[in-house]
Amino acid sequence: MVQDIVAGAFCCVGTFFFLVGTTGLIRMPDVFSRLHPSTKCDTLGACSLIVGMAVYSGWSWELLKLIIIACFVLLSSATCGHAIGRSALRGDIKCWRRKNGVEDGHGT
Amino acid sequence: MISLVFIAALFALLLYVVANMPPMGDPDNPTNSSEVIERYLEKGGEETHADNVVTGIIINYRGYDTMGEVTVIFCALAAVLAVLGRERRGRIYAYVDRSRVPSSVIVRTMVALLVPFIILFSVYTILHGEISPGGGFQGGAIVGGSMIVFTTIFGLLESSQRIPQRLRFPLEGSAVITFFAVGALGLAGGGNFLTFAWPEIAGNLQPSLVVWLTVLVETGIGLGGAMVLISILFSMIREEEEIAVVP
Amino acid sequence: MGTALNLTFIVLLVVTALLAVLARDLLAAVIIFSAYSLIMALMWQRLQAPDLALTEAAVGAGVTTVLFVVAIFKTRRREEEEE
Repeated sequence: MVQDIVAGAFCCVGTFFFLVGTTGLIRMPDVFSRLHPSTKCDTLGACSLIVGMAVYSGWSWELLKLIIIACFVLLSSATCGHAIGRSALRGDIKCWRRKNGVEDGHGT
Repeated sequence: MISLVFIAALFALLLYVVANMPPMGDPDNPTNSSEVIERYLEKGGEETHADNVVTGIIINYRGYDTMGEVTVIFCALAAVLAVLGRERRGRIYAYVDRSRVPSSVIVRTMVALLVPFIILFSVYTILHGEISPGGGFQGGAIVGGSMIVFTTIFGLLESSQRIPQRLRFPLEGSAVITFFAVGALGLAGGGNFLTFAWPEIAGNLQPSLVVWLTVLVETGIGLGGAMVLISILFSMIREEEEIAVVP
Repeated sequence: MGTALNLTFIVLLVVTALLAVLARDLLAAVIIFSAYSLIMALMWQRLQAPDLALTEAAVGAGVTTVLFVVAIFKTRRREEEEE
């Protein structure tokens, strides 16, 4: 019973972060600021969901598999975000600025 | 615009059809009245000795289909090579990242760390395919995907040293060759083509022999599929690298 | 619940398929197509065909996407404008 509640809470947290991350992905103006919410999706959202599933499954072999999946997601998504950000930065993609501010700032 | 309307109408029609489909898992479904399914489910275990019925069907009952599919994959490679050609053997490539952004240390380290695990998982998928979901095709595709990731990060030079052409060349046909060899083995044993089991010769060993032959065929398909995918990728990206040949 | 999920998947599938066809930017079309493959893999899993789900996820979402991207970078990224 308690297990179910805790698992559900973690899954709700994960879903919340996915929602926020996706909203940010749609609403944000340029690559760099979009990268910020979309990596939150992977790390916080997916890992909260995995923790929720781990709590739900209890002590079993599924727990080990879930831990491995969590490790894989953490490593690969962080690397992915780094690679996208780096290539956007080196590829001279301009940062978004407010309209009345400096228009053509390079990413620093 | 007309095409959009047409697609929307098609979508509505398909949704209507899907909504009217018989429910999943219903014993009264029309597909369940077929005699083939009864045979597969009741006799499949003892006839193919595969714990996973799907593998038993793919490798054994529908062996001709699978052999055709394997040949199709091989033909795809042949077509790609006929159009694009292979990457040159023995030429010195200089690795130039055409995307202007050299891959960073973090990405290189992570890929070098993760690719072995992905390949391990694909080996599991291939060898365990006889018991659990998965098998030669899936495992081969996973190997191909991991090598594609490796090639994207480290470049053609590095990865064609890891999997050199003289290694890929004999293995590309391994799917077709293994399947054909196992099929011909059935002929040699006095059975039909693709007969995995011939009880009069193997005797008591027959069940384990069938399992080993299944694993052999799965491994052949996996290796062949992986090598085909890698060769297709190499021959597709080779030109970019050849521009940068060291004089 | 199950029906709602299935319907969501089907609607997403059709939307991604349409977007992949309609996208002028071929790179975007390829990425959308890989999303389509992923949803298709989920649908195979829901239809209790894990073998096909594995194949679709590995080949459809992984390998063909990369091959398409390579092909795009060897040709042109934009679709030819009409008239």
